[in-house]
Amino acid sequence: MNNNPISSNPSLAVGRYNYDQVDHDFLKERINQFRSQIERRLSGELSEDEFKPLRLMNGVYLQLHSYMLRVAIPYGILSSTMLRGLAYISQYYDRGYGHFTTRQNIQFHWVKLEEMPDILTHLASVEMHALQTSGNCIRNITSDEFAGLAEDEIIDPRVYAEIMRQWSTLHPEFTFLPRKFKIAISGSSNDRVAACFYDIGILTRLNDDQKPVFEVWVGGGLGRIPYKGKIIRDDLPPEHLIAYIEAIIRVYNLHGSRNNLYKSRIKILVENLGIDAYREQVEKEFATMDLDQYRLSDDLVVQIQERFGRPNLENHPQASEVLEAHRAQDKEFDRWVKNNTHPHFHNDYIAAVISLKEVGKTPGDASTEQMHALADLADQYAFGEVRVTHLQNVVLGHVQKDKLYELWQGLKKQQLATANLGLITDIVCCPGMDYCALANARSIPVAKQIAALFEDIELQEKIGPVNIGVDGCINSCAHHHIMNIGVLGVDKKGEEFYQIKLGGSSYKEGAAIGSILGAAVKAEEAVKAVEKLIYFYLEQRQSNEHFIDTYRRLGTAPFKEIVYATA
Amino acid sequence: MVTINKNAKEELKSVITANRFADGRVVWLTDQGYWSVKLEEAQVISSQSDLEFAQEQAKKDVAAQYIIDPYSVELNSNNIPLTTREQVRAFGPSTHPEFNPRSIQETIPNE
Amino acid sequence: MPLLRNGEIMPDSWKMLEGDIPSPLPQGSIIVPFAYLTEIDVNTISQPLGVIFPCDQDVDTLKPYIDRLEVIVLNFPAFKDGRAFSQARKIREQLKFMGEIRATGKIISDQYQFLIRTGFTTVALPETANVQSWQKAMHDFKEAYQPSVLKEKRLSGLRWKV
Repeated sequence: MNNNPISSNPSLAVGRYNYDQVDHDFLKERINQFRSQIERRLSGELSEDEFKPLRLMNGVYLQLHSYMLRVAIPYGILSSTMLRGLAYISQYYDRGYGHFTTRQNIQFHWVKLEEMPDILTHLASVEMHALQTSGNCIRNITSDEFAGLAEDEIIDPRVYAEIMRQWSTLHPEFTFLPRKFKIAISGSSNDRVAACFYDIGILTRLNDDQKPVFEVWVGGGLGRIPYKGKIIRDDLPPEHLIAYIEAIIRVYNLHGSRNNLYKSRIKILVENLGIDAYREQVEKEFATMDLDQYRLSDDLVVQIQERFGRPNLENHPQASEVLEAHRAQDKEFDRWVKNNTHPHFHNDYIAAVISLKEVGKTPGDASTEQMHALADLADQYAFGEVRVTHLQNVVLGHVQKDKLYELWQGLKKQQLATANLGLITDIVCCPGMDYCALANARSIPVAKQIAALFEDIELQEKIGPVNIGVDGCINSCAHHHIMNIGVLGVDKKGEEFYQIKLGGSSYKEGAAIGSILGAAVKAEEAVKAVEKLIYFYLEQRQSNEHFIDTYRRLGTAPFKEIVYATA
Repeated sequence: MVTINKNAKEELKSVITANRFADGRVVWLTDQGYWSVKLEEAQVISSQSDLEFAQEQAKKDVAAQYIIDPYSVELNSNNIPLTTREQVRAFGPSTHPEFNPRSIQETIPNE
Repeated sequence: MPLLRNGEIMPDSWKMLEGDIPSPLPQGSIIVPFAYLTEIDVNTISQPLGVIFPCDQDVDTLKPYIDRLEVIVLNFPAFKDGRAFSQARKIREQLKFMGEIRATGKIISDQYQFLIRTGFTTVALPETANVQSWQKAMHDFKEAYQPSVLKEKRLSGLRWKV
């Protein structure tokens, strides 16, 4: 439904909101504020306890080996210029790489506190920031990696994600919430953002009058106690989006637990009150609000939308035919097209998904050279636009079909043409105890060992779609709760153990939290367990069942038997 | 952090660690009173009185804003930390052997 | 405790009564705990009156007293505890209170603009506070991305002039 009348301005970066002077001024003020916070810390005016929440609100963590900076990639969209900015930081302030997270952020793991203001200034020059990538505030808003190109899209979710990004930036009322707050939005009713596992998840549907309305989920989340969210409203007119989520968060800010870290997320409050009582409070709050102040009028939405660059899509009648010819002559390319592309609403274009999951590599990591190469390829083949996905991969959204073969050849040179999207080696993985101060166990080595077992691409294709998440702690950055196979690292007296969960599923249709298979085991055994689970599934599956289907048909017991049976 | 096992008091070995304030790097307290990025330069402490003395010094260095969050770490008989977490802190991420602090040359801030 | 209004230190003419409330009440302007207010007949008090309102209670319970109050004091038990921001906003926007809303407790200067934009008018600064930091913080940002109780001028889109 990309029928809006806005013309494209060729000077604007495609797919994202381009800052104007006001936005630049604001960011400069924010950096100056952080610079002075660091100075006050250095002078002793601020204690570490006081400083910590302030540095976190700027995305600065103290991890195991160093400070870490988490940079927001709002709704996952980067311009080639932004990506080059990130490459620069990885090269000059870090150790030659960055790590893309499941929250459409990028992390630099080796930065120095003193250099932070300079890094932030550099980021600001490419319209990026680390605002609210941590702390008990509204975090980076995530969205669908196929936004603006998917055939089933009703509205472009990025415009509303940008509106929420702006509205949530240094929100005077909501910067000191009981706990962190995460929002995801999809412009289609097909969930590609895991909406029911967010503090607020938003999907879009057409109402009876064929008008777009939001289906708003609230109270989902992973962590120590995972919950599937509940629908608080299924017919929210887009013009009231800000007022309504302000009402949701005000109720949470006033009533969420302040004295127990583990009970302070909105999911616990929604669970305790019940969704009906929560809704009642939100509606009461909403009814008192001056809706005119908050209204997202058509004019306002257009104003924001006009700051988005749009790809100049043209008709290339031969494109599909050329692509088919390339596929016919190169089997390897054909396989990559089959596994790693997504249809575009314009028949002459296609979206290419670039796997950051080469077997043997850390999932989600990209080197300085790879970032530069991706930026160049994006300029050449995708209107300079790069998307990062919540599964730690990268998308070039608008690729002319007859140019896809050239793009793939360029990717191959950078080891970026792994054809494993959605397959067993496309593993989601947090940094784990190799980096993270919260972790109880390492996750990257386990993910690598699992991937190594299934390196053969034909075997991967035979196994079919299955997702694995490896987490180093219960905070679940790698979503192990809602993966078909989840691996969770736990600590037992200083030693690493791993628990296995089965049957999780991330998206609205069939959304489920996995069940624990049995006692935690050592890394080696956990890797073997995954191997046994997969081979058992291959034996048991009927016709073209995916792993999750076989699991649902058979239940946990036979899988448990296979893993824990004593020989 | 260190628990004293009275029966095995002789075997108790520990070191004091922290993160350096300026750059967050893992550091270990040496018997010269400075903080080293290398575990093998750390002062290995085997008595309660030495431990208390070292903890006092760490407190001063917190106040001087040189380090943050100091604590003691138990070592095994080969002077390797007992827990995997502390091994990772001492030797760098296992996924990047080239980042082992022993092989990294960096300018040390504030010195 | 220095009292800050519009970035300036000003004298505090209010007497804060906590713990056991003396009877008869002392002369002059007094601020009493909310619990005390609910136990007495407010009409028996003739002097200027303020209240210390707890951060874990619904501000709607202030409604019966709102016309009688000149000061409402909201407390921050820790600066990370942001409940009072929502309380202040509700007191302004829903209870239409026009008097002084005062912040007390463990607040830091970086929160000054948030306080002002959610409806606070004064801040009882901690004794150790650096007044210059607070004065500077008042002007940290010249624009904001959301409407506030101050009904500032809209620049364009979702930007308001602070």
